[in-house]
Amino acid sequence: AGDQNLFTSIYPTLSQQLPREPMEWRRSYGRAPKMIHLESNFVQFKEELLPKEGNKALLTFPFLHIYWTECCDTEVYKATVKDDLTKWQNVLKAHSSVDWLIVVVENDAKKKNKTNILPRTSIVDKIRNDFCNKQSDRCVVLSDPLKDSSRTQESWNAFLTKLRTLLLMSFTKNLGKFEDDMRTLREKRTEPGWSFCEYFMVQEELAFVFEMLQQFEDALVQYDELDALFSQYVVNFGAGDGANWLAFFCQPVKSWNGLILRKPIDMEKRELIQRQEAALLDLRSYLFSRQCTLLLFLQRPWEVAQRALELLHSCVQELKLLEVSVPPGALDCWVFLSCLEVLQRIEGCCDRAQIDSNIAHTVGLWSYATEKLKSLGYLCGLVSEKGPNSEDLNRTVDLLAGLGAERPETANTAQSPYKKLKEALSSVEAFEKHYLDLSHATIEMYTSIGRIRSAKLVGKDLAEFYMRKKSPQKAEIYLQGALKNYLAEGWALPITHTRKQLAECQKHLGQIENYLQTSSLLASDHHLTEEERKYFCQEILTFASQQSDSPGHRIVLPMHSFAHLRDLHFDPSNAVVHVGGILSVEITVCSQMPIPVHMEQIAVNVHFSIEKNSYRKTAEWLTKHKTSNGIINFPAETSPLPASQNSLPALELYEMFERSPSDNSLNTTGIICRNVHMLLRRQESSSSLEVPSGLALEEGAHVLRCSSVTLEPGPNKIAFRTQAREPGTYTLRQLCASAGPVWFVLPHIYPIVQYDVYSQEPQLHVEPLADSLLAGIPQKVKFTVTTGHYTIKNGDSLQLSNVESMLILCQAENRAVVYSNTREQCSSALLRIQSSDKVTSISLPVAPAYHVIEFELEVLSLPSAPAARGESDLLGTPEPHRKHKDKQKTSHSMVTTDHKVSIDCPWSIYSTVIALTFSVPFRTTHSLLSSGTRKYVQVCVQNLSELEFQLSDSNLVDTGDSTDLQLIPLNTQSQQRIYSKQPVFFVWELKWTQEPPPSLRCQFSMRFSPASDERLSVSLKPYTYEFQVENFFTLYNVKAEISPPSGMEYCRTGSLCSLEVSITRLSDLLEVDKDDALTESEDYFSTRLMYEVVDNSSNWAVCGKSCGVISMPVAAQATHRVHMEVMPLFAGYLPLPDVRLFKYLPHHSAHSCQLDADSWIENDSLSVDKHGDEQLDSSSVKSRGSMHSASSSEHKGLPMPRLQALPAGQVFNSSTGMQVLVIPSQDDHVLEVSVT
Amino acid sequence: MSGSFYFIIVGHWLSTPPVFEMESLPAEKAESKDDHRHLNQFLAHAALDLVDKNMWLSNNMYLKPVDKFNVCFVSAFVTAGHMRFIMLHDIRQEDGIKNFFTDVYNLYIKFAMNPFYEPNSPI
Repeated sequence: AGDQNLFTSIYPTLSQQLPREPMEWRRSYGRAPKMIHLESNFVQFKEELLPKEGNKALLTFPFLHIYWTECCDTEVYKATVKDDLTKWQNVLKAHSSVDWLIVVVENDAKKKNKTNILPRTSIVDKIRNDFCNKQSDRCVVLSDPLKDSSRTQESWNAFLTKLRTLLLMSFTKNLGKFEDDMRTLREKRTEPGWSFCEYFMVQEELAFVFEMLQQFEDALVQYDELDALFSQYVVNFGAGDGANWLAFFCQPVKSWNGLILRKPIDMEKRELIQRQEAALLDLRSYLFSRQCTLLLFLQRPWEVAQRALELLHSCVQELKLLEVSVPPGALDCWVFLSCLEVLQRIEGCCDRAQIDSNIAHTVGLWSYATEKLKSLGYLCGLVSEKGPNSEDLNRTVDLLAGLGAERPETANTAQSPYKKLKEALSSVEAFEKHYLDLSHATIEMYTSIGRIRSAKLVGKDLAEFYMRKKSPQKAEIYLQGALKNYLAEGWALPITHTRKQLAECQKHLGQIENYLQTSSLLASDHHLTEEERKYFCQEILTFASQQSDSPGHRIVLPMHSFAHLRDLHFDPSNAVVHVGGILSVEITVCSQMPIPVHMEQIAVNVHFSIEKNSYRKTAEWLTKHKTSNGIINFPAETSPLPASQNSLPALELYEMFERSPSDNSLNTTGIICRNVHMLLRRQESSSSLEVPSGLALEEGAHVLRCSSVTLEPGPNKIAFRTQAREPGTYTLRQLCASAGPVWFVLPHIYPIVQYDVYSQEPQLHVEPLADSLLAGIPQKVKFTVTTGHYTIKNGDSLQLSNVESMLILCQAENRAVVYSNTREQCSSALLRIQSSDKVTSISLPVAPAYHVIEFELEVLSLPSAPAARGESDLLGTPEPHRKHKDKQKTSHSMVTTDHKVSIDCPWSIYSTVIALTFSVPFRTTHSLLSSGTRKYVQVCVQNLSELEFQLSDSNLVDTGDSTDLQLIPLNTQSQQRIYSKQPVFFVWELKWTQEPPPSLRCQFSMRFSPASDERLSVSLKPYTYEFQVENFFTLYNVKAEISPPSGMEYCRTGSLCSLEVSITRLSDLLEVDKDDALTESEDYFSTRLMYEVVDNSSNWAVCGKSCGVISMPVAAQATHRVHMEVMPLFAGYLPLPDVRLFKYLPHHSAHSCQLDADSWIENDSLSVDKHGDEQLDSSSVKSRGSMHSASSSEHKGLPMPRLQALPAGQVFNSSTGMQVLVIPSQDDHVLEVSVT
Repeated sequence: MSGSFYFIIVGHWLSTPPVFEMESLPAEKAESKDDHRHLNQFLAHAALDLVDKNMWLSNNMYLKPVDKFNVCFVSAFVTAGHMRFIMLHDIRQEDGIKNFFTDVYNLYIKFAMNPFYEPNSPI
């Protein structure tokens, strides 16, 4: 208001200067203060412009009323300006506007012209007084605004600051008021009659203001609030809580012309909203276009993209929720147009690089647009081969009509979404072009941001499109790609679906092999319906039944989709078969086809390898597979899932500590993954699944075949039979099932399945039935003929060469049993045995190859005279090696005899020599017993076997030529039973009339038969035992006597007793005496004897000399007495000490070293015994010890007399067994010693 | 108003088949079940890309709706062990879905505690 001319002159500067400096804007509700640039529109004051009550327009609201005056004259002021001002003020007051400012512009030039002017302050003061009674700051002086002076500048600044402050004050005040009003309005929204559109316009006003103030953020908030409010209403409506005004939005969609983002404000739509005529899409479009504009102002184009996607989805959702009727395709058009519009808008405001780096945000729109175009295409019949029909065309026309006319602002751009859509819908070709462009762009984008899965999904759609367009070769690659992806991640349903498409594609392409493979996979897919599976199965069968033009052509498919091998069973179960034998293999195949499938042939390819030592291998195999029963189970086929999961190594994590080297404090700690390189490997390369190639069909010479098999769904048993030909190992490699030209191949059978074929030489085994064969009685021997590859013909026989001492007993009921290779009895036949002098012929029963014939024969080893070894037992000089042996052991080992039988076998020109070892069941020993000069021969028969025998007819005869000798048996029983491990003794008295011979040869014989077996077919030979007894005639009688010390009745321990030994010669000179010890005097002979008193039981201590050499006259009744003293060490009845007699041979006599050595040993043992005595006998230690040491030193010297023990028969100790009563003495210390 | 829901649990290895899937359809749509199922899997599968991406951007296990497809929203929930729960739903109902995810998570943890359960194998 005020001077219009003045304002116009100042206005340019003012409008330029005002926004130059920012102002701090403090806002209510604790919102953060912001620096804003004020820019205002100056309008000439008109009363009409003042807001009326209830006006909601904020944008055009006058915030500050400024009165401009240039008045510098009081008169003028009083006359016009004051009135004017008052009027102005009144008007303002009437509208309750308190925001005003009076600007007094001073002009020096004017002042100069008028000299009578009042001081300039006066006018200002006047105005201040008149109008600004309280608010003196409402009046501002602006001096010389058009001049360029410091004063001017200063005043401008002051003015501007004032102006800004006041403007802002007013603005804040009014804004607050407006917001309050708006809120009030919002709170009324539950009231009936509330209109969203009205409210929308109010809040938008606020947004406009913010936008004007360049507070885009705040403006956006206003729109977002509106958005949210609307969305909430829609959701509530969906929940049944409908507001009346919403019903308006539910009108059918008539126009779907997409978003318009090029204009900052789409006034057209805004008017619709204002008129409350906007449809949902209009409202949404407008709202979004505003949001978009603001976001672009905010430099956030990516949010636009994101919000756009959200908007498009939620709009579709809302339309559905509000149950708005939408013509088919309309929404698709709208979405498509909107997507493209958004994209183009974004492209318009960003450069290429930005777009490329933000594909992630826009790709959603791309794919959405693609999808929508696709559905439009389907809707309008643009995808089909034939092109759209009339109905489709009608629909297209309707859709295009709904688009309305193209907007003027895009009309001249070639690529506008509108044009695109129109073009795409206009013809099939154009649609294809657009759709392909979009799809490829989308796929490319998805791929570039790594959203492979999404790319595959789009690709799959594209493939579907291609299929519709009958260009399967293009579709295939996308389908394969998608399938690979789904397979790698194991999503079953997508796999199935994609495969189905792929199958169709391959069918069109004529890729028979691939098609059949896919079909077989599909036919076994449980996610498909039965009908579909049957269809695909039928496809395969149809193909298989077609006559193929090239007969050799075959199509190899992997087996795993068709069927899988479950188990395999060999018969014989150990999977070992001999050459020519029949091996049957039974496999269980689970067919995964939905219907029974007839296969022409099922074959197993077998790889043959020759094993050099196949027999050993066979044995190994047998032991290894004994428990498996010949069934090999194959692991249940893991559905064609990637193995990569399993092969993926587990994380290997280790803790890691790093300590500082100086103070060992912990610096860093962490976890290290050791196998990063394994884990972070690319996955795609590792798992190449479903490789159709590489199915090499192995053509081996060895094939197990089974023709014309119908595989029912589920497990099927298929049996193969084969006759083994060459020995070696056969490995089952491949399983093929063929129907016509279609071959299903299981390329590897795992675990490895093998069977072995062996060839065996015929063999003969002969072994005793019992542990050992006993000589003398019939024993059974088992003959085992393993025929091997030899077939025993009629007339084949074993020729046994006879051994004299071994008889083969032929019994009538001998049977031979023929067993098969698996120990099953096949047949039995009577054995025919023919014996001649030299040869026993056993005719074998007829038996096929690889069978076993078993029969038993009884053999009898004639007891031959046992080796002379046993005799020497009781001779004075035992064999040295015998002596070192363990006595126990020798007594129990049986004497054995070996019989070698040579057998001529029909299969060999060489004869087999078989050794049979028979043991003599008895061990016989003899001994000579003396009683004075009477002699007895005792024979001890020890049964060493486990059997019991019946002994009879024991007899002892003298085989020597001495006729006057008589053997009188003292045995009473003629029949005697000898138990296992028990001895039986036989005694004969020896009687003679003349001088006995120096040696006696005897033969002991007895009959024996097994006690259990009563009847024996053959008469058994008696058991004989020959032995020789020498020097059995008694030459000396030794008599020892102990008498108590004189004056005592009994011997006492510890007291010396006298021992008297008398040695009496019983015969005159005999042959046996003639040896080195015999010395011949003039009229009589004498021999030198050494006696020795030894007490082995330590009962006696011999005092003084215990041994001595005597010269004994060789004459009957010549007696030599020796007296010595002994001391009893214990009380009781003590046996007398032993008195031994030796021949004392002079040193010069030439004897064998052996004997010499023996006597040495005897001496040694003697001396050891003596040592034992010495321990106890303290009194006699010295004398005897010295003597012993002397004698041992004597031994060392070379010329040394030797001792020879007299044969047992020549010395009779008449005091053997005598005992002397010793009573204990009162001496205690002796007892003590004995205790210790 | 009943929406249709499709819920699927995907293991955390790249190459594992879905651990669990379940579908709940409103009664009136039950007949179209078979068509939907593979479609749902396709969508869930495609959404995995976004789930994998978003889970690194958020601290929460619940990832809001990550993807949209036509009328479907895809919500996801990623457990601490990177099991991915994915839900396809056609109406917005964040709270309900979040609660559902939390419940399922509790159940899943109980299940996974079972010593006889091998992680990533189908439930």
